Amino acid sequence: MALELVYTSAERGLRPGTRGYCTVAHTKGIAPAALQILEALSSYKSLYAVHEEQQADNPISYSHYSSNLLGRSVSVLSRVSPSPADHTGRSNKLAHHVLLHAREYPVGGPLWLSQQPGFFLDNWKEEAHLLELPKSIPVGDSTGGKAETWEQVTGDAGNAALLATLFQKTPKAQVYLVFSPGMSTLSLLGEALALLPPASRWQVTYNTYFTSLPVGVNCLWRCCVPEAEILREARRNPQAQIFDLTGKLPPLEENKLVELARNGRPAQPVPASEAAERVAVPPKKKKFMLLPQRSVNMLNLKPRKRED
Amino acid sequence: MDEFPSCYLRVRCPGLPPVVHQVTQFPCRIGRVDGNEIVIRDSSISSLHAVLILQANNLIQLEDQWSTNGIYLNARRVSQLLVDRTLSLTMGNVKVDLTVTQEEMHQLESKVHNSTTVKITRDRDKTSTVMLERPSLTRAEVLNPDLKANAMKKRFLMGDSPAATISRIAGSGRRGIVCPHCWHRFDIDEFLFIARHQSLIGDPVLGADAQQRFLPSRFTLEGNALDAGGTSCPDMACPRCHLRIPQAASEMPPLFLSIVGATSSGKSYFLTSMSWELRNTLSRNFAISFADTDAVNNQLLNDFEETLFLNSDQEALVALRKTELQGELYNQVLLDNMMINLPKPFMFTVTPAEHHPKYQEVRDKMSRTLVLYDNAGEHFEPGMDLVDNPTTQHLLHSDTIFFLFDPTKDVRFRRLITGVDDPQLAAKARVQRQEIILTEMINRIKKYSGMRTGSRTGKTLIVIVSKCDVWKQLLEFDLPKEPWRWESMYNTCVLDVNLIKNISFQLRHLLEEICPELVSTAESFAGEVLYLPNSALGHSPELNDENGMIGIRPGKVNPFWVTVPMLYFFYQRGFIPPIPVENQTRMQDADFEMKLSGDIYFVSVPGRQKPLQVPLSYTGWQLRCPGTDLWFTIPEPDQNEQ
Repeated sequence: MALELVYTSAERGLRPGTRGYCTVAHTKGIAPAALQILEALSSYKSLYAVHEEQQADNPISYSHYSSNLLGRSVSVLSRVSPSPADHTGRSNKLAHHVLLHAREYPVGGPLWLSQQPGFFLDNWKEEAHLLELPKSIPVGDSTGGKAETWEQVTGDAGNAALLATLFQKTPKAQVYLVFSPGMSTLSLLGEALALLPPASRWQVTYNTYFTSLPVGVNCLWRCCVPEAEILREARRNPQAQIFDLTGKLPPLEENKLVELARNGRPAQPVPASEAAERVAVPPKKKKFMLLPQRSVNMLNLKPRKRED
Repeated sequence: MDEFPSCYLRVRCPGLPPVVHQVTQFPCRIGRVDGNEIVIRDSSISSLHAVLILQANNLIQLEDQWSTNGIYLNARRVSQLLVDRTLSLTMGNVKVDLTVTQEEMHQLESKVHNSTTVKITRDRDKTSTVMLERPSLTRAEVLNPDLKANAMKKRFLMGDSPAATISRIAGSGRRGIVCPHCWHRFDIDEFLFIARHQSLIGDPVLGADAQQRFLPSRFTLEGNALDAGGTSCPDMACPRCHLRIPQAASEMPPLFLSIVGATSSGKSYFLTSMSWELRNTLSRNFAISFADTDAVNNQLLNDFEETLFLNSDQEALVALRKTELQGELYNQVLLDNMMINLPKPFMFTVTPAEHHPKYQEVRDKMSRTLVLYDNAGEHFEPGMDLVDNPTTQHLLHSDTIFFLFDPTKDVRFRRLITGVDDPQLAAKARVQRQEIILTEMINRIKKYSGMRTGSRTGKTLIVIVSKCDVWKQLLEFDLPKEPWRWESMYNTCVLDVNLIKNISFQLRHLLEEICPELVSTAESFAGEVLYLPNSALGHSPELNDENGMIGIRPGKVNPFWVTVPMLYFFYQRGFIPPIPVENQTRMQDADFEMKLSGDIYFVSVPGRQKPLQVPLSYTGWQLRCPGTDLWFTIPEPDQNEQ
């Protein structure tokens, strides 16, 4: 069951006595531990100050993180952005988080889901209240068309395959994608992720406006502005993969993914049953750990006792 | 190439030269006591700590024998390890390196050290021991410079390196370092260092992106720790939260100061104005240097100062963003499997300037690290004191607390303020009961410090009544621009403490009339409560009709009395002298009847229905009776008895 939480600055929060930055809505029955994690993921660092002209160009952070802090693996999709002045006339932000389990994953992947109209809130003007029902997760897949945003930004739609190819070679590789404010990093990452097979899409964690890594989670695809501090540190690490959309990209090695990005894939019929539209999660293989061979005579060793 | 499976084990104990063992017979027991094949005489090693065993496939495996301090590989505790490559492990305080071949062991040695002298002796049937000479500092030499440190090493320990800092603190007798991030108190020898080698990334407390933290056993001659990759590491960290502690902050004892206030009471503006003004005031007037301890830690505050005081567009409408409950003002750490947000401290180094009249005398006593926090007002709301949100725990460690009271949020004050065009006083502007925040703060301090109900703290509470540009007409007198003056005796300025006390008394009287619950709550908690007016910006903000935000024009910013609370704080600690008694200007004291009851003096003033109530903290100071031109002094207790 998908749970959600909305966090912003309001005159009254959902918890009695809270005001200012606080949770204003969450799904009924959400565990306190989950509340804590979702609130902790609500940080946002403005690129432009509230009084600057370019304030409207502050990037929106769409992210997908995977966390084990609740004792099991869950995915958190988030949208965090600046929002109009709060009730005190000061700066504000709106964070909307959706927590979902593997069985709810749509085939399209996290980026497809994030781009579905109405999935995320982009403003909040209501009173604080509980959300009685779990969030409904749409089903479906991306159309798999040509990577038009990549073509618009870089001149070659095939560049969308850079991220996907790297992920297939090294699934745990962290990538920094340098962008200029105004570029639609959500579309860029969405087109890149659509090149991967459905079973792999939910393994990719990302942030379309990455400034720092929350503890306990990892982030593979990190979109940063050129002057980001995290990028300065990454540039010192020779193993960091950095693709600079504001500069020159590495040459493409021609492969199926590049071709797919340039030409798109033929439209496929959407499976009728809802079960079929969820990503089939392969059963986990149990791992058996071989015990060390105790063929040696351990009797002559000191007895094992706990020491202070 | 070895004929039979073997491995090499190098043991690096603190204070001892490394020892390399060649292990050819299995099982090979490793432990602290005699009887083990490899004896490591360190108290952090269990009597039987680990065993090297040979598996059926001729692979060597290291197994933990339920030791107390475990075996750590890359800061992760492991119970079994296959020895099929070079491994750098930690067992308690001891570093252990395992290699499969002697060549690998020599490579490991040559990475870290410049020259080696190798002696091979056979003292056991099963192992051979290689003794090596090292030109570096051991942990024991750093902690006790007199221990086997030759003149050359001692010279390095007198420098400014981390090892020199640790050495000095260890030798000073000072017990315990308090972490400015998590307030954990630890001994100097528990300091962790931050690895710099690129392969040492991923910390269990700070997350996958952070460099690993480690307990060093060896230091370079320059005084930096050496990490597992052999890289020199100058940065130190707290053993609990793993956050970086600037070297200067560890060397100079911290002075914690808490700023408390409701949401939108102006804490961020006050902190920004205060730090900016202090940089100038302290050095120009009091021969005290006030500088950022660490530019990285204070970056956000510096940005705020630039926005307000160094803005190239003096007419632009600017604003500081609302303080958040997570994000760049906090460090997120994982402790006990919980995400904890710790507030980022702003740290300033306070030292006497060389031209301070008592420089030699006060240099050590006055050299301190001032630690401040900019908490969001929400953190002080009731119910926000959560185990995963210990952001206000600094209250326990602070000697002085600044409580920011915002009169524009108080309905009773607002009724009295007329003729002021300030958006904060608009009819729709929200109001808030602020003594609830004060009560919550008091409850937290009492809860965590074990104070008895009804008892008072030794901390000083300064109630800062902010935004005085809006309400100062409620006072019956004009406030002087600055409560200090030049004193030729000291060749610096001195603080007019009598003036400060007097203004505090007058303001207290005003607050008692308008919001008495605030005064009674404050004085029921702290033995000394001071009430000071100030204005962080000096004039009212404006409403930006386009975006609905409140802003300020940098050209109009003119802080008033923002430094006075801190100057008083420094005066209490002996950093700033008061006006000498013989140079004080005194008025003629009126002859009022005074009666002490508990901790309050009741002063009968002719013409007043009720006597004035004067707390004990005002004894000895000449005060003006509110609403009159009459002055009186409550004598010190011993004078009173006479």
